[in-house]
Amino acid sequence: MRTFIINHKWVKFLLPAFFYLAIWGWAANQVGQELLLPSPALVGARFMHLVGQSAFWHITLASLFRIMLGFFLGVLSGLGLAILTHCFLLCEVLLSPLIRAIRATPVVSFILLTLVWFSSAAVPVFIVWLMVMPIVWQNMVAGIAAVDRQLLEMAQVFRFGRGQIMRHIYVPAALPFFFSACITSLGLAWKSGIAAEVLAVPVLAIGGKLHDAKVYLETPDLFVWTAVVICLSLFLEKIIKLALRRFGKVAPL
Amino acid sequence: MSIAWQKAELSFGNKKILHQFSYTLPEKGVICFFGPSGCGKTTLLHTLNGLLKLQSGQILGLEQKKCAMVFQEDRLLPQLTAWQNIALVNEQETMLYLQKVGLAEFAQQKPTDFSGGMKRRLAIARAWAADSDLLLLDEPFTGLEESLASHIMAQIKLEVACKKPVILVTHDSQIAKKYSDFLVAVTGPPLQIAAQ
Repeated sequence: MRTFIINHKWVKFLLPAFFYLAIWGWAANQVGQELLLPSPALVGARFMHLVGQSAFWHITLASLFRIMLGFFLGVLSGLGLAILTHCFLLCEVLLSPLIRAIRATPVVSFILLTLVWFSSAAVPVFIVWLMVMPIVWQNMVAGIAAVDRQLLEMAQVFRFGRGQIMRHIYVPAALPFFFSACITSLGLAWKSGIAAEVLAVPVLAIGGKLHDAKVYLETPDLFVWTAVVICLSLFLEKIIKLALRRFGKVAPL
Repeated sequence: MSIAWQKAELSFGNKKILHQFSYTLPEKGVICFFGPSGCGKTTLLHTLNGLLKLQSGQILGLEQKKCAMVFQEDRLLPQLTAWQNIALVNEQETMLYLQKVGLAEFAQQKPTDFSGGMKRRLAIARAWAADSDLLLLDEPFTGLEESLASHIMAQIKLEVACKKPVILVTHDSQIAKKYSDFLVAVTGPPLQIAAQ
């Protein structure tokens, strides 16, 4: 009975939510300074106030657009480069050290550098692309390498066309790697995209609002915008998981 | 024109698998290469299906010939149904070949739900259904009940072996004697014909 209650979907969601809200409320009460740690009630009230303003939605949608644009460009280019890498060994030789260097470089270095190159609105898109593309590339290269050689031999003997080989052998083998790359890189896209917005401060940006909250010591706003980022990231992760699951079902047929 | 290996040479590293191997296949019937595991029988089949190229020597009469094969492993596409696995090689007569191997009622199930014997039958049906000039069977009856194997092989002899060569490779002397029209005992490596 007890196990049943704990395993219930809503209990699994609500129990930790209330638990951590209670800890947060208790800690805010102990600190006693809204500037250092605002209470959940104050953050909630500020959230309700902001949600009622059209600017909130414009800012949220603008950041969402930039980050998703960078994400999709990263997924597409990562996929394309992985296919090229599979076809031409030279691509792997040239790309491998570059991708390793990109992954090892602190994201803030790229942000500061690209601030000089691009307009402030383009910086978050570029940074998200730069963070997503190597993850997708690396996963897809591993996915393509995981293809069952025996099935490829079978396809050769039975004279499958290129399209059939791609659809029935490569896609099913690479799909789990693609799923994992998308989920992993989506979280990183939000983190790096918002960080880029904080430093680039484009017009209409969640990062810009975080920057303002820091400058004007509006700690409740900092909490509200951070919560918006977390919620959007989790929501999009859910949407992408659903989309990929649906795609995964139809892909092999 | 008959297919014939002429002074075929093939090595993996220092290990010679085919050395001056020559043999002419009959134009039809079940030709059984019977010999111990590891003597080079599968390699011989792979020189016919194009997966391996001879290092020297030649195979005459193989130009433009299409092969179908039952591999030692089932090599089925796990995400496709039994019907789809066959439809990839023969879309028109898919159900007919599933019926021939007794899998018609499982047409919409995936090989991942099949027993070892059912997977084997599906692999045989795929090779049988494919448009080919040469049918290669590499240990096709592993894990299959004898009665089923006999039933399937009798049909293959009746419908396929009367028109084109069916090459059966096995280490099982019972199977070799029971199903072959031409029995070729081999040893190796390198593969050599011991008796025929």
